[in-house]
Amino acid sequence: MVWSTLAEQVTIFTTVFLGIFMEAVPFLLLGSVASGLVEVFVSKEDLMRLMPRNAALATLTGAALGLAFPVCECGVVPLTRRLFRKGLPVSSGIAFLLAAPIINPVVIASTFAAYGLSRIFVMRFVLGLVVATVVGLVFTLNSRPIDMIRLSSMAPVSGGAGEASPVPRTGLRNLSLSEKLKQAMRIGADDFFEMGLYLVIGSVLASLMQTVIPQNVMLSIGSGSLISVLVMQALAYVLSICSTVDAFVSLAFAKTFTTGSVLAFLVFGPMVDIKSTLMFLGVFKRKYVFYLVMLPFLVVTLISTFINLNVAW
Amino acid sequence: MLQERTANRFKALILVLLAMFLAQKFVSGQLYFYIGQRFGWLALVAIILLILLAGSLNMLPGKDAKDHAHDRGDHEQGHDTHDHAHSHSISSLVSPWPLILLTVPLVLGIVLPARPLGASAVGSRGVATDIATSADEASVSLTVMPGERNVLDWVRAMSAADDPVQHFAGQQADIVGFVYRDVRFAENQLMVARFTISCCVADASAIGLLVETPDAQEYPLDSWVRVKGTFTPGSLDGQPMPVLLPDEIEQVEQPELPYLYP
Repeated sequence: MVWSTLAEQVTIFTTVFLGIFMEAVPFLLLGSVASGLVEVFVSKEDLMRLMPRNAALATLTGAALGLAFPVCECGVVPLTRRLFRKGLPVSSGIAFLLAAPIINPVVIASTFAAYGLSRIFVMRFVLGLVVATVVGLVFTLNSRPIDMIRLSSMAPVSGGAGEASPVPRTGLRNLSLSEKLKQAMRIGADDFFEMGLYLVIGSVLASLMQTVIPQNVMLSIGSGSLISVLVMQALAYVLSICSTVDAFVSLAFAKTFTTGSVLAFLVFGPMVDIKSTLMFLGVFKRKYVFYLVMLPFLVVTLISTFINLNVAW
Repeated sequence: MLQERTANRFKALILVLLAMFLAQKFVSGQLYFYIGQRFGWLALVAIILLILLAGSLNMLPGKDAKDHAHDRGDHEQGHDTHDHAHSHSISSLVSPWPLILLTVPLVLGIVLPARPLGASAVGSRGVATDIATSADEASVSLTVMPGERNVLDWVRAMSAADDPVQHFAGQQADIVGFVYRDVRFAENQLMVARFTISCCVADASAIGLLVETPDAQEYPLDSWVRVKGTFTPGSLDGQPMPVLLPDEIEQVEQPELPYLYP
């Protein structure tokens, strides 16, 4: 074991931190810009027309909405917040929040590159859809988004876009296309800063833990049916790797860890990690952040452990 | 708390600085100390988006922009009085924390020297002498001529072989990597190691090939070397593995792309 000086540790921490940050920033920007464009160009009426009346169908639609909005977990939070403001039903919004970082074109491409047309590739998306829909449906038991969302995050962020109010929209209707685009960029800039706060804190924590906790300690635990699933979820949570690239990272564990645990890494990680938890805290009330972390964790643990125990792969 | 107008100026400034920071990393090639080479174009996307967002903040829409046209001269002196004069039109206050935290990567990136992960970063991760390899990857590595194989190609080929210790005996290698040693190593042993990354340094893992030479101690930890030699059966800390016996060890500069990409 090489003993490193504090200065060396600080340099390593900085390198890892900047690595996560630089990798995530383009996606955060894309997500923020998408959020601004949605705010300006998608009307509440359009969105409502798309949504099936039936709660279960609306939830499923929410889970599949990621195919139209290719965002990873950094970008999905601002976009979801925006969609809630547009009046998206709670269950659809939660399903979208959890599923979009998995079920989207970029992630499908990267997972295919890593695993080919294998069971893990298929199961990642099936499981992602199932977990997001189940958790989304649980949230239908709750009422309106306004009860879950922090008031400050619903407050006007720019140009006086009031809480779920149609005022800015009627105002925007008169603007030219270039004015609308400019407005979308302004909203995107505000979102970038609000969500960037959590990205920075999350990246700092993730790289601190990576520098401090020995990786081989975590790995040596790894082949029990349940413990491997828990360890891989913990790893996914701590590493906070962008869902568009986590498939490549998981390859390193594919040989030593149970199939269920690799799947758990690929399904739970994009839904919840340090970075996104902090972003959730900026949008949702604490109680609901707890549910948003625990429900996917429990459902993924259950299904992955079941796969390890009952399916011989 | 900041007035929204003041906050927007700082936001635009930070966005531009972030764009310049990324551009500097991109141009200098230091970007690849942090993220995988195949994601380099993402930095360009980020730079374009950052500039677009910064531009949108400077051009306040509608009435505000016109109000500002005539007093542009005031901008340099006395931001505060200026902001107060207009606070009746936009009175919302903005938390300074997002602005402060988004300068953290800038400050860290500028104050601390850019350095790729090296021997000191191996610490808790350990250096692997085998790697999870799909059959496809192994066959790709095997199509690389032995003389051209890098550390990753060799480690892959060895991971795929049934009896690597015997299989590779007598084969010639020419590899570049940083020097790594830990307590398991004998006096005459060192490892020529590389970090492999898929996406960014957060998923880095170290791999290496064992080298045996009487003057192993002369090569400082973390320095870069090029080793030409022949594999022979050997062992590290009792574990059998191919050992490279060098014909020549040359101290070299750190390569422009310090990591290998599986």
